[in-house]
Amino acid sequence: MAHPDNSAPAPHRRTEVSNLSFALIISIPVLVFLLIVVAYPLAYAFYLSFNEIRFFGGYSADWVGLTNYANVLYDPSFWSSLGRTLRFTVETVILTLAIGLGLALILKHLPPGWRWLRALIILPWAVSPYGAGIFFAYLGRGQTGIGTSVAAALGSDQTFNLISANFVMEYLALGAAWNMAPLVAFFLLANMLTTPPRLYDLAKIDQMSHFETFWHVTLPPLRFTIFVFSCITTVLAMKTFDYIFTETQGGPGSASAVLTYTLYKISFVNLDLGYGAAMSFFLLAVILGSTGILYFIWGRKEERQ
Amino acid sequence: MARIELRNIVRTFGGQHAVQNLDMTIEDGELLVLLGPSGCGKSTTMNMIAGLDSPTSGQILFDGVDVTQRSPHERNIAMVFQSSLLYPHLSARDNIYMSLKRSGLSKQQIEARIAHAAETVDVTRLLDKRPSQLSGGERQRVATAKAIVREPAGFLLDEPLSALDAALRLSLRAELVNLQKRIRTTMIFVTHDQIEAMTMGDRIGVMRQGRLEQIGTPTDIYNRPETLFVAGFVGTPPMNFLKGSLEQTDGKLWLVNPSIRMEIKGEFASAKPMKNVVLGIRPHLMRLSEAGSSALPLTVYAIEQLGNEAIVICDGPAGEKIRVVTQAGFTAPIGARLDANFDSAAARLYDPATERVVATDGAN
Repeated sequence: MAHPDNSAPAPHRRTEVSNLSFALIISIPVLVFLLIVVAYPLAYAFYLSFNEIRFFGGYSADWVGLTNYANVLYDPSFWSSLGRTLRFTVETVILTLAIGLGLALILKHLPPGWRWLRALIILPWAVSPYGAGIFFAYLGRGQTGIGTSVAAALGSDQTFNLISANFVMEYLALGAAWNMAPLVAFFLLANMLTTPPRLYDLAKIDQMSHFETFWHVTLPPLRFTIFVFSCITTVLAMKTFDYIFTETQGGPGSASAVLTYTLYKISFVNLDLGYGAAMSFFLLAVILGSTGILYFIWGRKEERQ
Repeated sequence: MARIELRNIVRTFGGQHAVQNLDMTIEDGELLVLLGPSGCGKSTTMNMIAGLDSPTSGQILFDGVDVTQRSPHERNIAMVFQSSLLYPHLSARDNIYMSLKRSGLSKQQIEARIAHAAETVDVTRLLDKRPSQLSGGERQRVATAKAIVREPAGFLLDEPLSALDAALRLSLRAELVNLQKRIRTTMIFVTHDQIEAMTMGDRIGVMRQGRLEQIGTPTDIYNRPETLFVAGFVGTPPMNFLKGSLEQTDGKLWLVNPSIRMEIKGEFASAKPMKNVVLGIRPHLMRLSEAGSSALPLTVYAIEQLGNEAIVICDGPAGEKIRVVTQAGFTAPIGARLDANFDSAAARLYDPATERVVATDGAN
């Protein structure tokens, strides 16, 4: 746009900090902090992964090159642990989002006198994964668990152990979803409340079925949130350790030894730090890879909307 | 297209009357505007006509057939909502298509109908855009196309223009009226904007507190308001009101208050004397003169210059605000004394107790 009077001198500016410099100035403490707590351990782990570390007969670190990485690929317990991690992750993500969406729908349609439940429902999320693990361990056990008491209520005198080799991963996923779903529900509810109520009237006039109304009116504003929580839950599920440690200790046998648990055993029980460090980089790659895939096949589509 | 009848409609929400004993007929091909302040029951009335809400009691008839229990789709109603709601993730074409999805028409018929509707409101080039890519006016046109594509028995609009800026509202107002006359559909338009109502409606139904105050042509509503509320609500600037009593002397009827004594002529000359009465007179029907004559004494409070005319806002003798429309460029110092004259035959008399027009021996 041309100004008719551009002969006027530009107003004198005092020296101001540019946006970029200002951003740098206020974020330097954080960057330094991150460097110490993230970059240093990461770099140290990277160094360890190329060495064989021994503690017996005095500490020693021998350079072994890529041997640790190669060994991981030939280790059957790595592949079985990875399989459990993926199974746990897929199940947790699906259960978390399904339960979260279900809860949000229930919370949205609460009658006016029951709206306080919306605040209360967040409570499970306030339980730490460590606590949730202990809680679900008691709940799942054969002697004290909910399986047995439900069976007793139905007139059976059998015990049902929910923490059994065949479906311990599903039971773990259910507990993880219980922990996380309220937060998802909270965000989805907030999204749902932005939909103008009259849009439901429009759907009625168009004679949409319940499913079509859900698909065309309720769901569209939720899709981006669902994508974001799929990513968050994927990352959280893949790196879950404390919850599984307190609930099943990788058992029964090694039926719930996910990659993080196997890593813990190699590094801190067997003290094979170099090998553990190498395997942990495979976990990092899996986490980055899966969120990357989620973004490329799903996230980009949601962004364009 | 249909003749829509409402018979003694009552709608209560938790003991509160949203709509009370509403009787109304909308003729086939008519554009009826429901006008009233927010909370007057006009949107509730529209929801019941659409079938989105059911009356607590009463009947709704389309072409003589009772549709009270039928769904919106069975009534073949189309509706445009406030801010022209559309499904945000669907293209304009798919939004319009949703109106016909359950119609049972063949694919070719649907496509032809969409093309025709889009052409009627000139949105053909917008069909592949999403609502978020459209301007307010374009969204309004797409919402209209979505409504007319169904060839509805009744076309309901719930304040569709209220979120738009003034210039756009003006042009879309004319567009909608033009469209309604072209496709000759029965249209009901809800608004709280009296100018919109006056300019668009074949007839206007003015509602307040769940009741229909008056229904009639814009001219009728403007010139012969039946109630104090209608008199005050319709017209810009609003009607002036003077309080007083009606007294009969020498076979003539007089409006009397501490500052004036004026003979009532015209249709209200045959009214009976009464202690409290309110006289209503339009600002356009008053004339200003120098102080000293026998008319209504006023004190200038403010002057609004509109270019083609000026509105002089004055304090009346009883502290009420009196507005007088006069020629453009009229000036007077604030606080100046003026007099206003008017022909009492052009005034309306209302009973403040019933808030209705005073009974006469004539038509009323």
